[in-house]
Amino acid sequence: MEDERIGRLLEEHGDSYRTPANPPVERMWGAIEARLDGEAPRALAPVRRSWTRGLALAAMLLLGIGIGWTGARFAPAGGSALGAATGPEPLAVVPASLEEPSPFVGLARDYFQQTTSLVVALAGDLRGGSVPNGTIRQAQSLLSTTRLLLDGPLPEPAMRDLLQDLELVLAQVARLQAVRYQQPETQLIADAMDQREVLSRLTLIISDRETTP
Amino acid sequence: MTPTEERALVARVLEGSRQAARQLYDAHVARVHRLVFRIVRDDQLAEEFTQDAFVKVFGALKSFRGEAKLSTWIHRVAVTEALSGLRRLKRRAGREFDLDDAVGIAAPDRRIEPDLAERLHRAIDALPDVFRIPLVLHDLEGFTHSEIAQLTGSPEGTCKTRLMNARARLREALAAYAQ
Repeated sequence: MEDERIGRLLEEHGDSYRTPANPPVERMWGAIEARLDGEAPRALAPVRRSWTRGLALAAMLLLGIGIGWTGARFAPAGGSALGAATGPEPLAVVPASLEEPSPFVGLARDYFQQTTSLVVALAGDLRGGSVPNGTIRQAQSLLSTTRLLLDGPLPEPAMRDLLQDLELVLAQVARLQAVRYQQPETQLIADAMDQREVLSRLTLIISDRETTP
Repeated sequence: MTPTEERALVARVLEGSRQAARQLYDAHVARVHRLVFRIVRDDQLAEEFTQDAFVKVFGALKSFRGEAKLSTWIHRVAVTEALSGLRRLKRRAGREFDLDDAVGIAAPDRRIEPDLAERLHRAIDALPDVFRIPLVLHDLEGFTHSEIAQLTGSPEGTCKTRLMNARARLREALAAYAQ
């Protein structure tokens, strides 16, 4: 059978291929409205709206952890140099013999602030369905810093795990092409953040500290 | 709907009019649902992914610039959601999904119909997804090679080759009916 005949067959009979029964228009609209109103999670796939809101929260926790962690370097004996109202206490106590903050600490502090901003912006971009070039460039820059920090003296394995997952997400964002070619990569980024449970692991880090005497 | 009416409808949706959103939905749901169903070949999945598509459409509508027809843009969103949904399901089933996956997940059509149209439909269904989906998108739904390449994440040349393979397999399957 020639290709031309296949083409004709597809023209004549293709329209009737897998023609569904009448779609449940009202039921689907009800479910769509519920999701638009934030009432109902999706049955099969992760609820992207909730994790993107959680992503913003994770970003704020990340900033709090980072500031607290780097703030410990400046703490005199018996108290925090930043004061009691600056947020969570550091994940690890830095030796008080170090009187000068190391360049590594300054790098880490800047990194957490910039990463927090990026994560919050990314959450909004993914909700909108596309990531602008500015965010991609920032992710490329932060990716290099993430890898530098991973090579440095991290206080505990949980921080290393978190940085490794941030490395994964930043690498995915850094590889994105121009906006019109981004689908379905943005979905993969959303899935990666969801599967790696960034928010819940950050929560565990916080709760572990709170139970440590 | 004329382009002007379309723009006006989009503007009303973006202003928050639920009535306008429903109007947009009604204008496109049948076609979107059929498109998604042809890709996933399952009633429940088609319903779920159609919902996903419209939620995504309403969420991203402010980024629609009007360079393409609204229906074209909506259909692209729908295809993306269907393909992403299939990937998620196959990943959960323990297999990485890409269009090289040879096994579909839809229930087979078991009706016994001897006519040529039915043979054609069965032959299309029997194709691996890697060939079936480009065929459906190009020959049945009218997407261009460039659009299919973007939607599937494969180079345009690869998409064309897969389409050629799909047609070759159909020719083989329907050889007994060549007249």
